[in-house]
Amino acid sequence: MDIIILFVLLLTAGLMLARAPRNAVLAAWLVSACLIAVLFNQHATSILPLSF
Amino acid sequence: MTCALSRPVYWFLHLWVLAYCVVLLAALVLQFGLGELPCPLCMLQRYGMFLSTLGPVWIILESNRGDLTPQRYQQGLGLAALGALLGAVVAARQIALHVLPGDAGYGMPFLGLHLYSWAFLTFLAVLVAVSGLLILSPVTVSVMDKGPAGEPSPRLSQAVVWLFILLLLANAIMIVFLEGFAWVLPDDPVGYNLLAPTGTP
Repeated sequence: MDIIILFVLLLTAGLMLARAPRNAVLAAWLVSACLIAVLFNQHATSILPLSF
Repeated sequence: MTCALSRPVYWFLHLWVLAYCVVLLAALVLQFGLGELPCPLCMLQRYGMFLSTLGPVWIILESNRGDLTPQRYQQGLGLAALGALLGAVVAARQIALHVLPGDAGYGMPFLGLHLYSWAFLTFLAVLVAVSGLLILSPVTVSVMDKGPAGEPSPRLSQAVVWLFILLLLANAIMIVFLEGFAWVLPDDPVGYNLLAPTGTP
């Protein structure tokens, strides 16, 4: 999933460089933000090997 | 309708991108030089930095082309603020994981604070910067009917943008080796999965 996130971030930067339409840039950025949020949710809700 | 940024704001945006490039470069130096492999939350904070910095990068690119509009300027700053907010949430989560007395924290501290604490402070700084830029926009952004000819120092400006993109590419290549065929990174990575699979999910 991390690989997908970084490549979507790269795609977003590429769209910005290529003067892509504003909506395409915003959509790519939003997809990467959502993927990051999903990955964070997965890590935040996973069981931690804590001991006290 | 296009707009032109005042010189201090234009170069401040470059300084902002450059500052995050230095942070991301330092993270790579720590990783490859000192063998400090990033945990999943560390990587998420890097993504937050990339996500946030795409905002000023967009503004700089549009400004250099003479295509910057007031709407695009505001949208760029909005992307930066949202990215920083996402990164700050992740950094706060990692701070909370190590907040108990006696916990040594993850990785080595730098100037008395762990890297995730520094990351949290940088995200706060971005939120403050975005607020300041928006408050000052009536005096720092001039709206005009015809697009300006572009900024006079595009070479230096392009160097900063390309440094950022190079760092993004370096992280993309690195993550392929670190994650390998696993779906997510292990909680405490000990090596590069693609080179020596550790059987993580």
